[in-house]
Amino acid sequence: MMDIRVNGLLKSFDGKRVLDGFSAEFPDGGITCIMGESGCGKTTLLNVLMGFIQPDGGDLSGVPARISAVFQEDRLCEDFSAVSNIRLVTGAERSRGDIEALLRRLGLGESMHRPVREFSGGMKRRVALARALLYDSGLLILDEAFKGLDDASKDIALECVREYAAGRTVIAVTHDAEEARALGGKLIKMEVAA
Amino acid sequence: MKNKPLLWQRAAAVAFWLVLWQCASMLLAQPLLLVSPLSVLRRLAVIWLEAGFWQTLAFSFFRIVAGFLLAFVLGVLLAVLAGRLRAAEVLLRPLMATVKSVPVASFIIISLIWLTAARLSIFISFLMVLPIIYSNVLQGIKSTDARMLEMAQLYKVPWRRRLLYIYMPQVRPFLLSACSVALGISWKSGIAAEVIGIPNGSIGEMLYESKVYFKTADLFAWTVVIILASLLFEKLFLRLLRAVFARLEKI
Repeated sequence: MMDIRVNGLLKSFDGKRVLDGFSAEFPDGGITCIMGESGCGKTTLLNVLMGFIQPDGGDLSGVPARISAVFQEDRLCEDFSAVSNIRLVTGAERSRGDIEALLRRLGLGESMHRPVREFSGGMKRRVALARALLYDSGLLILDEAFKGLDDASKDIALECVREYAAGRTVIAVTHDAEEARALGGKLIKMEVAA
Repeated sequence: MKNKPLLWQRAAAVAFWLVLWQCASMLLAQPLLLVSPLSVLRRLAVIWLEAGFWQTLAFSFFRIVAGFLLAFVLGVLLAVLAGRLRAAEVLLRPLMATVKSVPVASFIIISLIWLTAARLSIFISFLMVLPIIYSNVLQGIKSTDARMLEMAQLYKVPWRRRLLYIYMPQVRPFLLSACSVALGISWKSGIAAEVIGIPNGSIGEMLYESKVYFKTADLFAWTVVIILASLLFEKLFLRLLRAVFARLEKI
């Protein structure tokens, strides 16, 4: 594997420049936290890395073929259970036991077979996190993944990330300096494009 | 939102219209023009005991239901194809628009040139239902949350699982409401085809003969039979469809 490199990324929406020659290096197998005020292009950068949008200019290299992500929104299938939501992405790669063990650890033991639509915001967040952690990927993207979690749940979630993401490249966007410290690794501060 | 009327309120509303019908029929005093609901009820009480009643009902029922089911399967398949391939959607658009806008009577008469009268109701019911199922399912597919599709793309979710987990919940309300409308239309158009084609041993033939021989009570009684058969099939089919969806969610 190799480091992920982005060089001189440019992206505008409706004439408004969001990424203005952004460059960075994300060490292979390491954690990188990105901080910056709203509108500085953090989510746009993640969308470029995930291949959802094409940059107007610049280049990127080293992005692995398999990526997992906790999006800003949960993006869960509301009618299906937590276990089914995870099996949707993992298929037979992960056993039912593996899935249930992580959900239990994240405090969803009692409710993991109930439809996700019955879950609170914090519970849905944990399902989205479990889905990303259990998917076998080379890059784990966390876009405000711990938003809405209480302190106890956040501590367990951070512990799970450190454990399950060991050896994977992690890029985490956060507004919380405490969270960035707890995740450790490299810190990048993004600025709003002029 | 206002609550659904209570059972007694609905029963009272039906009773009101039946009483009004009875009064109008008594005032007119010409059963040939307007038969009374009591006469229809008396006819209904014996019509099902007559020789050939069940065969007649079965003849029309199986043909109309076959037409509906064929259109249901093909409509869903074509919508899935059009949802995946823009070219298929473009190609199918004029066909579906034509079927939707051409009067059913024109189709019946044109089809009589190609088909035997006995097969006419299958084809007409199929033709009337197909665009309803197709356009509703396609609309459901198109209204699928783009963010969920991005998620499926990122996680490389196979097409079959996307269909079950992402498209199916989105399409479900569209398909249920399309079926609810299409089931009624399949019966209306199927019976219309039989009345024009007059296949032997069909409900359409019974309606036609009731008109020709001025048997107004029979005409109304057979109409009630059609409504009951249509309602029964609609309830059964929608219940079955809901059960299938509920089962799929538990996978």
